[in-house]
Amino acid sequence: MVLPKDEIAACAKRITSSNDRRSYNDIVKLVSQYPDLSQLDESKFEIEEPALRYLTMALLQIFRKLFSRGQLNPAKATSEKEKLFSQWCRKVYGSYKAKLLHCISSIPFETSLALDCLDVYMQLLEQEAIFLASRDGAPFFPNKTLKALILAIFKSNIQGSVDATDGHSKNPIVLEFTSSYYKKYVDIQYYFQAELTQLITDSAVLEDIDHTQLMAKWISIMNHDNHYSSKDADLEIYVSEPPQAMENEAQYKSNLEKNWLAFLNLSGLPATQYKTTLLILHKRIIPHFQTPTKLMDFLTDSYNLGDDVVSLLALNGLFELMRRYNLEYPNFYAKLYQLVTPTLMHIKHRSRFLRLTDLFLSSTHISANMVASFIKRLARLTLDSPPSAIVSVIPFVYNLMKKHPTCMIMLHDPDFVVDPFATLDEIALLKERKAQYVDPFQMGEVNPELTGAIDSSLWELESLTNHYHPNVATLAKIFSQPFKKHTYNMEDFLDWSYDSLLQAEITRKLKVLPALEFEEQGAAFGDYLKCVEW
Amino acid sequence: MAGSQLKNLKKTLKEQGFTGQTNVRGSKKGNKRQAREYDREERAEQITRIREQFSPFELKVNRDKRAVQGSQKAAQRPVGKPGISKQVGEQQRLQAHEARSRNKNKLGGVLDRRFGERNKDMTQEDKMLERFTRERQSQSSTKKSLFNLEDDDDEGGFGGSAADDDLYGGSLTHYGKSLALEDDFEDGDLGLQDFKRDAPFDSTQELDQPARKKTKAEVMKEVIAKSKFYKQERQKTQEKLQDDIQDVDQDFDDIMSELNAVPKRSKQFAAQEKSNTDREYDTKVRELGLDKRAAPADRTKTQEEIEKENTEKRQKLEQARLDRMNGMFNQDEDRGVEDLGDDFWGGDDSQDEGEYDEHLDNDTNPEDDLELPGESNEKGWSRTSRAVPVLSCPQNQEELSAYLEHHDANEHPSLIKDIVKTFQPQLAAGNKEKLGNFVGVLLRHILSVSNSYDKSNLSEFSDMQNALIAILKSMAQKYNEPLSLACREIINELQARFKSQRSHGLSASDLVFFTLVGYIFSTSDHYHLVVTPCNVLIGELLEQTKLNTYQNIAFCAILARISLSYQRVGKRLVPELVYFFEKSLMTLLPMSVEAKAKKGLTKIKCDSEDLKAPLSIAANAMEKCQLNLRQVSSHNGQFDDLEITALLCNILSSLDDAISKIWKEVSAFPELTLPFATILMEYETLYPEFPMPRAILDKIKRLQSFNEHFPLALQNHRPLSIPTHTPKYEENFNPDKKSYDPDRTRNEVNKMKAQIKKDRKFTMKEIRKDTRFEARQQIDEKKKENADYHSKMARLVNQISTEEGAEKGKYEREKRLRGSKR
Repeated sequence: MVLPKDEIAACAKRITSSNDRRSYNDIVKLVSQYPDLSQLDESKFEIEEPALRYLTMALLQIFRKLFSRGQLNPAKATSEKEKLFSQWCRKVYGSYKAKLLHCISSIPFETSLALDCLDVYMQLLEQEAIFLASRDGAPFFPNKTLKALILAIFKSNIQGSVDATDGHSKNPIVLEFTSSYYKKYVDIQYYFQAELTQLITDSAVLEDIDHTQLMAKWISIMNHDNHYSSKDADLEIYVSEPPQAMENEAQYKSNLEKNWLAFLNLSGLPATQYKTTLLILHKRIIPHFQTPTKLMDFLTDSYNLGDDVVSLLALNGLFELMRRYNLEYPNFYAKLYQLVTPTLMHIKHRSRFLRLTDLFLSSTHISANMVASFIKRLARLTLDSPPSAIVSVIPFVYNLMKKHPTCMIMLHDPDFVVDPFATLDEIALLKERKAQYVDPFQMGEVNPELTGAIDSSLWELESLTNHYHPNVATLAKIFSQPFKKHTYNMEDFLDWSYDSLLQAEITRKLKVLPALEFEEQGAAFGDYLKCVEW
Repeated sequence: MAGSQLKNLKKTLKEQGFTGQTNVRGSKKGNKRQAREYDREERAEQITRIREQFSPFELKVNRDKRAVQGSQKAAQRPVGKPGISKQVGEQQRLQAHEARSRNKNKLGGVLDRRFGERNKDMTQEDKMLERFTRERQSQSSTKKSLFNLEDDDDEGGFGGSAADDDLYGGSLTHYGKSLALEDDFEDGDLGLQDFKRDAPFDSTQELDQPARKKTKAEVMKEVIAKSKFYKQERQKTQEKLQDDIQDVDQDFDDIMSELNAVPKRSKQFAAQEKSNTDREYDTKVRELGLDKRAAPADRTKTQEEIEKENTEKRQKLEQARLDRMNGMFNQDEDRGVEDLGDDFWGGDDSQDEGEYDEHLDNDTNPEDDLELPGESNEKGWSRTSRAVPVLSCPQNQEELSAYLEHHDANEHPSLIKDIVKTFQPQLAAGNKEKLGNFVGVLLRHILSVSNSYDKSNLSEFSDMQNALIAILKSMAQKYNEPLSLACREIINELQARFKSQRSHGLSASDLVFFTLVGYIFSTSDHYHLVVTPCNVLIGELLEQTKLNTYQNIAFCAILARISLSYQRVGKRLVPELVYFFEKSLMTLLPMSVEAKAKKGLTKIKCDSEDLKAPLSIAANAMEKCQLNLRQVSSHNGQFDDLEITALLCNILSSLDDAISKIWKEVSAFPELTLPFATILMEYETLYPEFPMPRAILDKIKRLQSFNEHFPLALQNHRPLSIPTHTPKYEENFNPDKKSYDPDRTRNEVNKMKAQIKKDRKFTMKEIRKDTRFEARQQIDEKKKENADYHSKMARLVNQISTEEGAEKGKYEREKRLRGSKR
C-alpha cells in the first residue's frame, strides 16, 4: 500500500527544502513504494492511482532538485566521497526510472498514470541532457534513457489496442508519445530511429512481443507527415544542446529504412496493416528511404498475399518505385492483368482499382496488345456486372482508346465495313472474311501480351447499348459515335452504386404519367409470370 | 454628260433629227421625197441605239477579267440582253399557259388534226382536195430526212405531225407494200388536176395558220357592224314591249271594276273561328316546337367496324410502345430521357421542379366510368341488394383490413368493388382524391396479404388475390398518378429495408410487388418512372443477395423470372441476371470446392458450399419446375430434394428462356454463353439422364451458328474534312482547266456532278420563274374576273336605273296628264 499523501509530501519537502543528506534515505523509501503493476486489477488500481501519481510527481520534484544540485553526475564530483554519494544517488535515480518504465510498460489497461509517467520520464530525459553532459553546455543526448523508453513503449501491452480496420495502435502511451514528442522534436526522431535500429539488431527482445502490436505501434508512430527528412517539416529540438551527429540525414534515413524493413519482415501481420502501410507507402515511407527499391521484395510478397486490395496497393507501390526510382520490374503489367478478375466487378475497391489502373496505363509507351487485353478483359467482365461497374468501365475504355488509338480496331475494323458501293468481288471477299473469322481472344491467358485481344472486337460493349438502365445504354452508345470528346473525367463515373442510381431515380419528379401495359395477360401468377404460383 | 437624263435625251433626239424642226430649210426648198424603206429601217436602228444608250440595263456586258490584253477574246465580249431574253421567256410562258388553259378541264380525248375539220368556211370538197394535196406533197418531198430538225419549224403545227409520220417509217404499208397512191394513180386520172392548180395556195397557207391577226380597220368595222346590229335588235324589243304595255293598260280599267265588285269580309270572322281546342292545339304545337328535337343516335357499328377500330387502337398503342421503347418522344414536354446524356453522370443536381400537375389533370376525365372487371354480367348487383352500411373510403391499410376483417376471403373483391362504386368521382366532390389514395391502400393490402397465407385455402386465396389484382389493374387506368407514387414509395422502402437487413428483410410480398409493377406498367419503355427504379432494384437484389440458403436462391430465381418477363418485349440485357444464373448454378452444382478448382470453375465465388442439388434427377423433372411464393416466405428454410430439383429446373428453364428470347439477339452472344457452356457440361456429366442441360447446350450451339460473329465497324462515319490553313498552290495553273484531280474516274464523276448541279440550278430557276408567272397569271385572271363582275353589275344597275328612270318619267308624265285631265 502506498504511503499517504501527507507523508509523501513531508518527505519530499524535507529533501527539496534542505540539503540534508540524511533525509535522502527517504528517496529510497519513496521509490520502493511502487507496487508490481503487471498483475493489477483495474478496479483496485483506481483507488491507488491518485496516490501513485502524487508519488511520481513528488519524486520528480526531488530528482529535479538533485539534478540542480548536481548530485546525479558522478563525473562532476569533486571528491571521492562526493563521487560515492553521486553514484548512490544515481542508483536511486536509476531505480526510479526503472519504476517509471515499469509503469509505462506493464499496466495492462489504459490509465492516466502511465501517461504521467511518460511525461515525467521525458522531463527527466531533458534534465539528463542538461546535467549529465560531460561538462556544462556540452552537446549531449541521453540515448540510453531513450532506448529504455522505446523498449518500454513497445512492451506496453493494452488489450484491444489494435484498430481492426486500419491496424493502427490505439494505445494512449504510443499516441501521447507520438503526438507530444516524436512528431514535434527532431532530435527525438533521430535518436529514436538510431536506438531502435540498435535495439532490433542487438537483441531479440522485440521478438517476444506480439507482432501485430509491434507493427501497430510502429505504424502509429510513423504515420504522419512531420518527419526529420520531410521537406516542409515543422520541428524543434527537445534537448537544449543536441550532438552534431544528429545532422547526418543519410544515417537517419538508413536507420529508418532498416527499422521499416525489420517491421515489415515481421511474420503473421494482418492484412489491414499491410493495407495501411501500402496506403501510406508512397507519401510517408518511400521519401524517407535511403534506397527505396529495397521495398521491392516486400511489395512483391504483399502482391502474392492474394488479397485483391493489398495486391493492388502493392502494385501501386511498385509503380511508384518504377516511376521515381528506376526500378526494373518486368512482370508489372502481367501482375496487374491478373488482378482483373470477375470478382473485381462486384467488390468495393473497384473504383480504386480503376483509378490506379488508369494511372498505370497512362503511359503511351506500353504496347497496344497489352492495352487491348485490358480493354477486352474489362469489357468481358461487364457482361455480368452491376450498372455501377459498367458505368465506370465504359469511360475508362473510352479514355484508353483515346490514348492508344491503335486499339480502335477493336471497335472499328475497316476490313469489315459494309460498303454500299462495293463491287461484287469486294462483297464476296467481305463475306469470306466474315465466314472465316474466329475470335482469337483467350480469356484464360495470363500474359496480356499474348491474349490476342487486339484482333478481337468489343461485342460486349456494343451489347451494352441494350442495357436495361437507360443511362447506361445511352452511355454505351459513345462507342458508336465519333470520338470527339477528349477524355471523360473518370471521377464522375467511378463512385456510382445501386444506391446512388436509385436515389437519382427517386428524386426525379413525376412529370409525365408512367405508361401502362395495354395487353391483357391473364392472371399475374401463372399466366404473366410463368412457373411461379401462389 | 451634263444635265438631266431627260434633257440629254431631248438633245440626242434633236441631234439625230427626230424631234424639233429639222431640215427646215431643206423642206422649204421643196425637195420633198417619200420616206423610203431603208430610211425607216435606219431610223428604227437609230432609235434603238438611242434607247440602249439611255437605258444602261438593257445590255449586260460580261467583263472578262482574265482575258489577255489584245487577244481575240478581248475584242468580242459576250453581250447579253436580259430584258429581251426575259421578255422572250415571258412570251413563251404565256403561250404555254394559254395552251394549257385551253386544254384545262378537258381530259383525254382525241385532238382532231385533220386539215380544216373545224373550218366552217370550207366545203366538204375543198377539205378533201386540200387533204389529198397535202398527202401527196408530204410523200413526194424527198429532202426530208429522219433527223432533219430544221424543217420542223417552217412546217408549223401540221408540219410537225408530218415529220412525226416520217419518223415512223415514212408512209403506210401493208405487207411491206406501200399504201400510197403513187403507183396506181396519175395526177390527171381523176380529173382533179384543175382543182389542184386552181387551189389558191396562199389561202391554204392562211387557213392553216391558227388565226390571222386582224387589222385594226377590220376590227373597227366588225365592231361597228356589231353595234349597229345590236342597236337594231334593242329597238325591236323596245317597240314590242311598248305594244304589250299598251295592251295591258287598255285592259286595266276592266279588271279594276271587276275587283271592286267583290264584297269585303268582316274582320271578326277569323277571331271567332278560334275555339278553345284550337288554342290548345296551338299551344301544343308551340310547345312541341320548343321541344328538343330528337337527334339521330349514333349508328350501331357492325362487327367488322368494331374489330377494325380495335385493331387500329391496338396498332396505335403498339406504335406508342415501340416509340417509348426506342426512347423517342414526340411531345416536347416529355422530358424523361433528355437529361440522360453525359451530364447525368457528371452529377448536375439541378432537378427541375413543379409543372407536372397540369399534364396529369388532362388524362383523368371525371366523366367516364371506371369499368371494373366482371361487372358487365352482374348488372343487378347493386348496393341496395346487399346490406352494406354507409361506408367510408379506407384511407389507410388499417381501415381497409378492419373493413374486410369479418368477411370471407372470397367476398373481399366484391367488397372492394363496392367501395370503388360508392366513391365514383362524379358522385361527390373529393371522391377522386379518396379513390386515388385508396389505390395505394389496395396495393399495399394485396402485398401485405400475400405475406401471410397458408397452404390450406390456396385456391380460394389465389382467386381472391387475382380478383384484387384485376381490380387494381383496371383502377390503374384512372388513378395512374397515385398508384405510381405509391409504387415509388414502396420501392424506396424496399431498398431501405434491403440496405439495413440485407436478405433477411426480403419477403414474398416484394416479389408480388415486382410482379404487379410488370403486370400493370409498360416494362418495355426506354425510360419509365416506375419500372426503371424497379429494374435497378431487381438488379441490386439479384447481385447482392447472398445465395447461402435455398430460400434466397428461390427468391432470386423468382426475381429472375420477373426480370425476364419485364424484358419480354424490350429484350434488354440484364447483366445481373447472367451473374445470378452463373452463381446459382455453381452453388447448386454438387461438387466439392477442390473438384471445381480442378475443372477451372472458380471464376465466381460461391457464398455457400453446402447447398447442393440432389445426386440424381429424374428425366421428367422439367415438368415440375413450379416454384411458389410460400417457399420464400416460410421461414423454416428446409427444402426437400423435390423442391430443390424444382428450383434447379426453374433456374435452368429461366436460363433457357433468357438464351432463346433475349440473349440470342445480342452481338456478344458467344461471350455471354461461354461460362454457361462449362457449367452445363458438368451438369450433363453428373446427370446423364436429365435432358435439360444437354438441350440448352444444343440450343446455344445452334444459335451460335446463326449468330454472325465478326469484328465490329462502329465508327463508320462520314469522313470529316481536315481544315487546311495554308492555301494550296498549283504549278502551271491554267484557268481553263477546271480540275487538277489525277484520278480520272473521280474527275469524270465530278464533272458530271457539276453538270448536274448546274442543270439543276437552271431548272430550279426556270421552275421558280414558271410558278411566279403562273401566280401572276392567276392574279390577273382573278382581277379580270372581278372587273368583269363589277362591270356587269354596274351595267345591270345602270340598266335598272335607266329603266326605272324611264318608268318614273313616264309615271310623272302620266300623273301630270291625269291631273290636267281632272
